[in-house]
Amino acid sequence: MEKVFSKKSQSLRFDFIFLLALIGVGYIYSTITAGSLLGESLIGGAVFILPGVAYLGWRKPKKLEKNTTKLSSVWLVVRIFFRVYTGIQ
Amino acid sequence: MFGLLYGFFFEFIQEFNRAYSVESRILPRLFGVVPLDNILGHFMMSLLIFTFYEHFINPKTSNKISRYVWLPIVMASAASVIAVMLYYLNPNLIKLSYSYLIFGCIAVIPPIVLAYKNPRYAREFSLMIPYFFILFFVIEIIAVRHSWWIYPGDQYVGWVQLGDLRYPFEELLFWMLFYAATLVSYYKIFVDRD
Repeated sequence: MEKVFSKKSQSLRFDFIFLLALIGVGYIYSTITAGSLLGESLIGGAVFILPGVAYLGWRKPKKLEKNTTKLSSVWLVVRIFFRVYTGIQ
Repeated sequence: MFGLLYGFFFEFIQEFNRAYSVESRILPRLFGVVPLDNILGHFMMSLLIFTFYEHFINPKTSNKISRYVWLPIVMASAASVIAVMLYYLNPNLIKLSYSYLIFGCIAVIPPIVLAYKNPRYAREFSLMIPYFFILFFVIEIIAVRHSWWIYPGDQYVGWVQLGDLRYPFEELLFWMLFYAATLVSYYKIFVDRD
């Protein structure tokens, strides 16, 4: 049990660090594309935020695997939005 | 729904009162006031905040949605419709001094009450705030530097100066610090049922 908990903590810690790293990616992207349409507030903001949403959606922790109405609809929206977003890109 | 409905109402009032103005180069301004970008921005931020909360913070997963879930939808829809009607009929009624401060203070009442009544939520909010503060702070620096949005008004309680960049104190307090906690408090009160 302790092992499982420990693994889960490590996993969450990794997720958190990954999310922090995504902020850096957003910063670099926004700096590089500044002044162009790709550096516009909507697209720049989406680069900061949507990769984090997609990552958490993809990494859904074990406790969320039993899809509930609420959560499955959240993941569905996340996936659709990410598909549309990547399609636009 | 939170992001879209409350985002529209809040942004409509703030953009109308020139508390800030978002530069929109892709999508149109709804009713000539609020850029669609703002609404989508709230939608995306809400998604990230709720997924972050469910992934890292929420200790238990409920498979039930609160029966009060319709309440904020009705309230936000009604507020939005009234705001738009007033804009066309008598815009002076939605012309407010210190609109960012007023609406910010109203918005942060639920998380403060929730944290006061149940210290568990104070702990949960305090776990979320550091990450979202860093995220929103970095976005703010980029946004102000590259004019994603500007602050054309003069009715703020103060300014935060960072080198040659500056933004209102309300932005620091209500967006960077309290936005995530505020959304999660609405989520706990009206949607999640644990």
